[in-house]
Amino acid sequence: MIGEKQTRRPLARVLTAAEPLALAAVPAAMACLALAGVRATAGVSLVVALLCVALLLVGFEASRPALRQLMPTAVLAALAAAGRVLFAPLPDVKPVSAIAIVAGAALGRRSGFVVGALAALLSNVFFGQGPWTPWQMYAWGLVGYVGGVLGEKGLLNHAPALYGWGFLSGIVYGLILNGYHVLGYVQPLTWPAALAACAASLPLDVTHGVATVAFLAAIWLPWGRAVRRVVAKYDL
Amino acid sequence: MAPGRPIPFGSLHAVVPATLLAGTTLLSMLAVQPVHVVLSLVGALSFSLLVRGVRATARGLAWQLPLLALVCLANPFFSASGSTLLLKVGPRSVYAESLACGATMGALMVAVVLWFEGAATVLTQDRLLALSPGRARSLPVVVSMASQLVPQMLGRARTVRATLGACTAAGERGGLRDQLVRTSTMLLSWSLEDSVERADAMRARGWESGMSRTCYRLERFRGRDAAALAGIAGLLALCAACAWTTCASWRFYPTMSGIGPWWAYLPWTVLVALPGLASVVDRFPAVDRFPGSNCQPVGVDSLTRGICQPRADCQRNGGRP
Repeated sequence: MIGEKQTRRPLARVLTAAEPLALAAVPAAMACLALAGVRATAGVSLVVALLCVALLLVGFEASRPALRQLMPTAVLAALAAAGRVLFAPLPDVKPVSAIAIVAGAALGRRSGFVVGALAALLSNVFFGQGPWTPWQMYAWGLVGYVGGVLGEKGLLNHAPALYGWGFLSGIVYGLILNGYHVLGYVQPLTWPAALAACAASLPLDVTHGVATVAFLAAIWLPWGRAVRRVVAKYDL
Repeated sequence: MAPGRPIPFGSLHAVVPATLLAGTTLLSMLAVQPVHVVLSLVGALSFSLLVRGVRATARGLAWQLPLLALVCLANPFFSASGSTLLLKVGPRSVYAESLACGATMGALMVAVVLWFEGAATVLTQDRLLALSPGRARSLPVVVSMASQLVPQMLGRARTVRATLGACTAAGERGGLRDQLVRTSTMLLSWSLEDSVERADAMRARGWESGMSRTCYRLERFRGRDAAALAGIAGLLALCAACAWTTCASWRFYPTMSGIGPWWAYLPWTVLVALPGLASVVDRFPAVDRFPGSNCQPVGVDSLTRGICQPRADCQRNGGRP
């Protein structure tokens, strides 16, 4: 698998160890800043998210994948971005999470992160870049990364785990995107306010989760087969 | 020869506008204080009007201003704090301080969106790639390839659907879901096979043969870039220091107070006006203000209208000045 071939250099090994910590640091920083009542929560948490995305991308770069091994990542990122553009008329029906999970499972956790993050970056060329871009990159990258971790442990071969993470990814994505907005821009924050904001967005997040499960159910077998076939055929 | 379309910050290395815009956006988000936010909003709006045009900015404001109003009005209902009671809506009290805090947050959000949009217009993809270090090869190639593939895939999806529709031997069409799965799987296989061939072709043409990445357009870091960068870094540091004092003294609750001395806002005013001023300066055409510029606009009669080209001396010497 490409993910196994990517990690050889010592720097890459250090970065691999730091990746889960960096991913966990973002929600932790958001929660701590909001609880401490820091006025510039929006700015500081954005810096933390940017640093996390940068660390993961540097880890991908430091693993020095061969040119042929980069290609499936580029193709899946482009497909995810194109899919988001195609499904733009339907709110919260986006295939990006499903494609990031498939990429993580087939190509490794780092490729899963890169596919999710780049899909957000590239599709925002059509939808408009903004302060939400780093958060979307982080959130979809996280979905792909966790997909890769679950795939490496062989859990995604079981339907409940696959669809469970698919559904949960919609909720996680919604929590991150709404979280940065509510924690960053509502002050002083109270628990009822935060809960009310989460409850208001719950139907949209559930729609996103259900759509991701539907996309996974549709593409998991045929896409997995197509990616594995090319990986085996060209010995990637 | 008529001058080509001016490119904002075209005469400077990409790292200069990137630092200026990133620093301004970041400081805007960190300095949450009404005066700072208002100045940032005015600067962002004028920058957006200058680089994106009136129409694009107005289209954006059509959703950004209602958002500002929404954030402003939502804040008193989410967090009822303050001392100046304005009105009571049912069990909720609306205080002026809470409303002002909401307005500040809404204005901050719109200002940041405008800064991002302006930066996305100025820092085009090729200029951003010039920012990534020369030794970084994997990520720039993935980003540039994927961005080229998105429009190609949107076109190829139509080709696959049209071919399947025209080919009776392709069998039953099936429902919408089956069609989508079939089209997307074909698109995936097609693109994957293509990409491996492309990778082999790139290797055959010498990819990875040198230590550093080559680039289409040369961006050279010169003395004046270093000077501009040092000036911007100094200004950013000064703004950060001033913003630190003004934000530390400012209080929204229980009463709005601690606005600080007026001169503490001067560096910030200069900083937020700088991107707009720089794009105005770049509008004046013709004269070679910076001999040996990075990015010279070329004539309209050329095929490369509006595209920067490396200077002829760089091209002749294989990229070396």
